[in-house]
Amino acid sequence: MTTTLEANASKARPSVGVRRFRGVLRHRVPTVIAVLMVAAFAVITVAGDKLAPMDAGAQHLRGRLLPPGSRTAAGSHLFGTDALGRDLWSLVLAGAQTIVVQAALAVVIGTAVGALLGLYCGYRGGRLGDLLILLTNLQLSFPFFLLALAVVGILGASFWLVVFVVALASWVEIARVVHIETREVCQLEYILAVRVMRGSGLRIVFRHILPNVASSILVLGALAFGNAIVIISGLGFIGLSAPSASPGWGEILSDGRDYMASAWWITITPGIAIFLLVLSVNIISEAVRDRLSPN
Amino acid sequence: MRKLLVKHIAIGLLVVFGALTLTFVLVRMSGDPTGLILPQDASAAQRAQLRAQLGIDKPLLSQYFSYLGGAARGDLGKSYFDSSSVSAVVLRYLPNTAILAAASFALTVLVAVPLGTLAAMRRGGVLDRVVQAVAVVGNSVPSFWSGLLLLQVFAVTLGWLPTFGTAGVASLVLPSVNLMLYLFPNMARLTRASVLNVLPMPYVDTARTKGASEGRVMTVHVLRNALLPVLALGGVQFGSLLGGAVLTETVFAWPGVGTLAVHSISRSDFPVVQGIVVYVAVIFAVVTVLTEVLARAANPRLRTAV
Amino acid sequence: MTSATRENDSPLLTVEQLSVEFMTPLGTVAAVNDFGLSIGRGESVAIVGESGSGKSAAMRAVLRLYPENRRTRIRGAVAFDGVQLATLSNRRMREIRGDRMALIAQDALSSLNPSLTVGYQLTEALRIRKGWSAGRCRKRAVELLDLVGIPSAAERLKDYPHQFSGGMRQRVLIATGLALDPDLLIADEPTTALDVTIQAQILQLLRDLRQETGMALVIITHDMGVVAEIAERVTVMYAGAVVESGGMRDIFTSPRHPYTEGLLNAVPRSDRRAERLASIPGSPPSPTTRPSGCRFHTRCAYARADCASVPAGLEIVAPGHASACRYWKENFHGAD
Repeated sequence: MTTTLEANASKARPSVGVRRFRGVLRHRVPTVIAVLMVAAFAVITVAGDKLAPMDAGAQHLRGRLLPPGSRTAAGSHLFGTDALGRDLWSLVLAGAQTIVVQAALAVVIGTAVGALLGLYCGYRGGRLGDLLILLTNLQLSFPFFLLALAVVGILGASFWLVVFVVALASWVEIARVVHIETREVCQLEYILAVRVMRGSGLRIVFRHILPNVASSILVLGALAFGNAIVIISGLGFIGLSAPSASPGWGEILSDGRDYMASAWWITITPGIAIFLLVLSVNIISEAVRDRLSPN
Repeated sequence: MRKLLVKHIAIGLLVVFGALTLTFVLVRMSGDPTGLILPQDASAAQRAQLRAQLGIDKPLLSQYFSYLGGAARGDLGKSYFDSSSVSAVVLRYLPNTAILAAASFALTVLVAVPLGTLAAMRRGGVLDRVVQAVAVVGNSVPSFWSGLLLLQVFAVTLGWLPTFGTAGVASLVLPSVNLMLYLFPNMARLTRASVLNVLPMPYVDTARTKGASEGRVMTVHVLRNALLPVLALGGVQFGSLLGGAVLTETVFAWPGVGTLAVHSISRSDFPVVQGIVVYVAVIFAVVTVLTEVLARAANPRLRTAV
Repeated sequence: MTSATRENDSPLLTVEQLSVEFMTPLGTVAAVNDFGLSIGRGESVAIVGESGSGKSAAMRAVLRLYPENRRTRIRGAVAFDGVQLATLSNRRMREIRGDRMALIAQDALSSLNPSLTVGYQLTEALRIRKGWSAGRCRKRAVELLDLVGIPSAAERLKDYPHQFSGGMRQRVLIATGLALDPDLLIADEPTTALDVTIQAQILQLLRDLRQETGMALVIITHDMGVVAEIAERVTVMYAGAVVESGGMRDIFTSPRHPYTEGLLNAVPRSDRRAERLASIPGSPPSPTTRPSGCRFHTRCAYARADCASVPAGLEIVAPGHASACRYWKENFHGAD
């Protein structure tokens, strides 16, 4: 006599193989697109002004605030023109260079410093590690953007100051994570063995410990890059960007505020650029994290 | 427990001290303010007189100490712009920032925590995937852009809500929503991860074996433990709202300290910027300590541990 | 060994042909296969097996603790005190659970909510079920802590689980199971995480409780020593199925299944002179890839040709004693 404690209606299920494939595909597609996007931005950064259909700085005061798709003597304006008649698409392309280079420099510096500090303090341990933690705590005890604002605002925006400030934003998280992971790795038996056999030294740090923490550094570095783009364009939005030939993305957005009712495209285009770049970087870093995590 | 509290207070004091020192150094590095205050054709005598008035003709170290002394009393100097007391100016704008912070934070918690919990409960389901996707996207949208978009759609195009100002609740809506969009991803993700952590715990099952309903299991047992890390994050987020919503305030012309900071910078009114940094440091330190106290109260395991 | 007469001879819990399957991305896992059990009022039964044998899964399925979703499939008949559990509403099932049948999980530290006081957790069931007032709950909580032998019970009500030592915590966990005076207590590995001396105390406690309250006890364990201490009847499980069941004395003195024999031989004994500890060669199969035929045949010293192809079923070998080894007669000579 079997009363069924059956808890489901058995449905026909696709085979394991098919299900797995679908799952993989679902994950892969956004990642592939993200990689392509980042590659596109890289190309733009390197060859931006040459790719622009027209001179970003050229003002056509008769062709001001034209909607996307309009044509003027200069050509077809894919995303319209701004208040000075400049082609928006060209502006965005030109602006990419400065911001991406600044962000990349800042992140490389910040990541390098953070990783080195984390590695060294984690390896030496003891008071040094506590000091590092204290330093990071101190910096994290203040809203970073306000700090950046104050520093850049008071000292005046310049290319390297912006890079320096953004590097400051990047080093903290990396230092903390690398520090913790280095400490963990140092507890592993084989590191102890190496230390006994070879004595201590930087060699050990780089040869043996670094590979273990490299994946975290990569992931955090990528995230820091996205964050850097947001900070730099944010500073530009409130007028604190380094002087340069063509306006940065933040500045274009800021200029567009006055024309929201009449020329909405000015606020959309640079924003989309920022969004797509940061999103792509975030997706890639998530994918890398999933791939490299032990489970 | 006392020991740890003291430690946090000490860090807070250190931060405030660091903020005071850092901004002092920055302002001194920015050069002679007489050029900013006096007209171009002011004579050297006038400049010297102003310098004496501002106290910047004295040696650097004594300036520093008198600044610190003043700060301890609440006196953060005078604005270059209109010579009003920096403290007074900042305190005029601070309440607005506080209101925005409170509204945004409440909104964020009301949206992120339930969604994060539901996503965890139905892991792998549609809601879960939507929440995760929204979190990734949300983290990639710069807050000033989302603010502009919100303005564009709801205020300019649809005209439902005002574009600036603080008149009434309606003007609070868009900036709060914007900040909520900014904070939502991290809070929802943390809630989700935390609930996922707690759900398989044996004590959740124990509650079921006692005959508790699912509702009771979720609230009394799961959330009570899962929300502990969320509380910690909430404290940090609220603290940062109180000093960091510069971009949102600017976009919506919300008269808080963020807007004040931006205006002061454009006017080169550095003492005010200095004052804002100091005040925010103090507030953040206080919020951090309060969050620690709350965390201890909520988590019995921390109470008896050192 | 016959048990003393009881007022009501009908069994308290009967389980027939219980099977529990989980659909995982790696395939269907049959955690429990054709499990059967019968417990009389006040009886004490041990379910023995290695990890992965399905012993915990079976009892959880009995209590309907598995979420009812597409990934879990449970079949079979479970009757408690005459009532079929399968068809009960969730509400009715919740009433039986905790009130008449209680389950105590394995690790006391993670089985008790770290954020709630022990006093609250002890009487949570009473609060939910009977709507007792705080005062009444408190009284009962003190009673329960006294019952399980925790000193200064009244003061310890406001303590949190992490403030108790391992053995005390286990007692607290047992107390939570006893709160509603259940007719049947299922203890899942109650002594596994404890020191040997504490183990003995806990087992004594369980024995005393049975004496005092007359409740039936199901002990899930992998330790034959525990079985000997407390069980009247034994069910041996391997790879999700029952391979032998019978009275404790019968099983210990005349096992009728190679696996049971192996388990008994593996227990270190001071009265035997052996140079090494006998262990069963090989290891338990993973739940996804179980051997065909008799599941134990890959590790069985007595395996014959058709053990690999013909599945084993329980056969009566003596009154109240069954074995799933088809060749039990030949293997164990029917002696003693």
